[in-house]
Amino acid sequence: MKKVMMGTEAAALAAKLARVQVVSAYPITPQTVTVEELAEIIGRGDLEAKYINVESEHSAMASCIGAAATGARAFTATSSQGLALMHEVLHYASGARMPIVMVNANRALTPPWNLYCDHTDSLSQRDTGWIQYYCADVQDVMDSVIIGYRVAESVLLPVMINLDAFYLTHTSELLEIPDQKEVDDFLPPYHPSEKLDVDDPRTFGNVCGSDLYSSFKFNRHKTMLNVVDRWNEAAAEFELKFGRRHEVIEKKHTEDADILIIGIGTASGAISLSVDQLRHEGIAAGSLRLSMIRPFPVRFLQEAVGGKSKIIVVDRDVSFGAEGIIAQEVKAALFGASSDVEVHGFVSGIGGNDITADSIVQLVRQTISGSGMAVQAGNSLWTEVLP
Amino acid sequence: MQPKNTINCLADMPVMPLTIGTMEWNQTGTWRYLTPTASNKIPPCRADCPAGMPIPDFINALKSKGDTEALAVIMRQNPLPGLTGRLCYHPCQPKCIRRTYDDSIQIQRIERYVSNCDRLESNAIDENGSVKIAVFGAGPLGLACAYFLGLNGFGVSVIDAAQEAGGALLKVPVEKLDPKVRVKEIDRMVSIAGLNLNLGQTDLAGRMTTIENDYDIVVVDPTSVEHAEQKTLNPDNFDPLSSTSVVTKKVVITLPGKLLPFKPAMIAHYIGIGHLAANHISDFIKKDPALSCGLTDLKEHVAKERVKLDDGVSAGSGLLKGSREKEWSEEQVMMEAERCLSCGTCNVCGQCVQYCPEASIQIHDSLKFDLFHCKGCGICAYECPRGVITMEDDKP
Repeated sequence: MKKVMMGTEAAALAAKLARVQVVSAYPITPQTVTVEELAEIIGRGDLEAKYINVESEHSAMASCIGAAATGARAFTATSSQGLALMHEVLHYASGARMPIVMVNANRALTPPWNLYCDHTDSLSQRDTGWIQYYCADVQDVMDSVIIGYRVAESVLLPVMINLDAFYLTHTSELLEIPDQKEVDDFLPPYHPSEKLDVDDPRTFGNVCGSDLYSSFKFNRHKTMLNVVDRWNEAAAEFELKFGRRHEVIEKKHTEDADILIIGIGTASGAISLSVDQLRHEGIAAGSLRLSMIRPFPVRFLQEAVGGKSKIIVVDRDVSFGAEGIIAQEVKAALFGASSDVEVHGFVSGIGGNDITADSIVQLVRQTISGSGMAVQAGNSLWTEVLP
Repeated sequence: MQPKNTINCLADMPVMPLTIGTMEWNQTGTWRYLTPTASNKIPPCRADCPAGMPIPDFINALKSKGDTEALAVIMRQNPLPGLTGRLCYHPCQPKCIRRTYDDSIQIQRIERYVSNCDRLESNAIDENGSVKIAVFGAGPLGLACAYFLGLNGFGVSVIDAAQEAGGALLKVPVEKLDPKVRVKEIDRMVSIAGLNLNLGQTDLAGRMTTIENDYDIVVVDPTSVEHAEQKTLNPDNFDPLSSTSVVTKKVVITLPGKLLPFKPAMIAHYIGIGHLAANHISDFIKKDPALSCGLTDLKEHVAKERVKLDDGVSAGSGLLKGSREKEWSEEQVMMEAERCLSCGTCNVCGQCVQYCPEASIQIHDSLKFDLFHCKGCGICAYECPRGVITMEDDKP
């Protein structure tokens, strides 16, 4: 069935199709529509689930962890400050191997107050052990929540599905809604082997000495490294069933490209369009969208970059005193693998500034000519800054 | 203006990324069958003013430029604001849109304050000075008629048997109207319009024929003392409210029964009719309305008789007892003027911009509609607090 809906509505409907059993959430712009929609769905009786109203995002995640520990499929959604408030329990969720799926609306962190798109909120939770997926369009939101549960429950790690504030949360698009029966086939009920059960008491999250601690962490790291393949396997199966592909990276004209433009989230749409414009001008450009940031798809990136002379990374985020976070990730992934490629990192579109095909073309021109509007600071070039 | 880009099928839609400004390709102006049009309208207060005063305009002038400028705006339409500001039954105030929020603006108080200003110079034009006009009677109607003829540049003499100008106004009790105010008001309008006052004239009836020969036009004022009771049918009778044009050199102005005898509370009606008569006479003289110095056609406003008064019953005689109302301070007046919404006049408040769902309205100095994208929903017209925006049918 085709429908027109916003990213936030698609996220809520995807949670319903995934037959989540516990929703615990606290409202925050621009995610609020998702949890409101779910409250209505559950209130109408369209989904048999427990909806827990909590007093903060920290409690929202804490109750999702509790729910997941009992073997329930748990869902929450948040954004920006709310995600930051969850920080402590994000580590707990992944450490306790809880297959929670959380939708995060990428919104700028305060101060100054800003409700618009920025990726620093989720990227600053990069090291909490969560799988991080960044959506490009509304269909991607719908499908990746469903694939997310499938992967999360197979590897016992939580998944964060990220969607750009307003560019995705509040943009209506036409999308295909998967059939409930087919979703049920793709995503069978979750039955963990170990769970909290009063009739079968076990201990979870106990004290652990240094003798075992490393092994727990090592296992988690190894599992995480495999997630790139697990995700692509699940995505392949999803494609077989539903005809849509959502892999860890998405490429366009990369084979014969000399300049490769890398971005995440909705900006990848503008980047893709800019590649058409640049090709029309005779510039051999290609685009690469990193839909997965954790685990980082190192091997796929290395393959795509081979033989290119220049890479442009568009970051809607920054690590102060270093550079754009994705630019750092790309450099780290290419270190030793591709010695003669130049990496140009741009910090662009933060705080909701628009990234358009034209603005990407400008970045490429600046990269080729060496001069343009973007201002250099350290290793990053910033656009949209006052003189 | 019709949009060029039209989308007839899905394939016409361009591939586009999720960014802010890219919906402009979709020129939804083709959906529109009503087009928003912004033009200043006659506000309800002015529409119900028998003298057709541009009320929001003078209040805006008071706020932005001060009382002298406000008085100049009033004097284009009303030569006796100090009298209307005291005597008029102010039909403007019950129509004030502001009353739907809290209370009507006390327009009369503001007008009275502005009339107290005594810095205003003559702006009469000397164009048709060779045309000589005599107005018999210095009552409010005759004075108003003389004033507007004077503003048109004609040489106007006002002739009256009384020693003082004012006609029927001279009979208004001093408790209601301070004679000093009357004198000051008449002096001001006489000086602005460059009128010639010939008072204390004797044997006017006997000299009528001589005077008629000396002047190009003779006007007889029904609100002067001598002519107030004049009801004889005369081929020269002219009713400015119903007649379309002046045809004779002698213009004996007649009034509907409800305006006779003179009622102080209806002073604005006499002023409006005097103005209308002046316009007719100007047209008669010039035979060319284009030359009539941009005077507003008041017929519509003056013809609106919203308040019905029975013949012979004085308007609220109880009001004439007791002491006069106290004057307002400048601070009180300015606070009251601030409350005016300036209905009918766009003051670029931006309400329409806020509500336009298509962001199709821009404000620079005035409103500008982006008709390539405006769908004609009409929300701007609905939301405009001043009624400036209307939706017009596009089809010819």
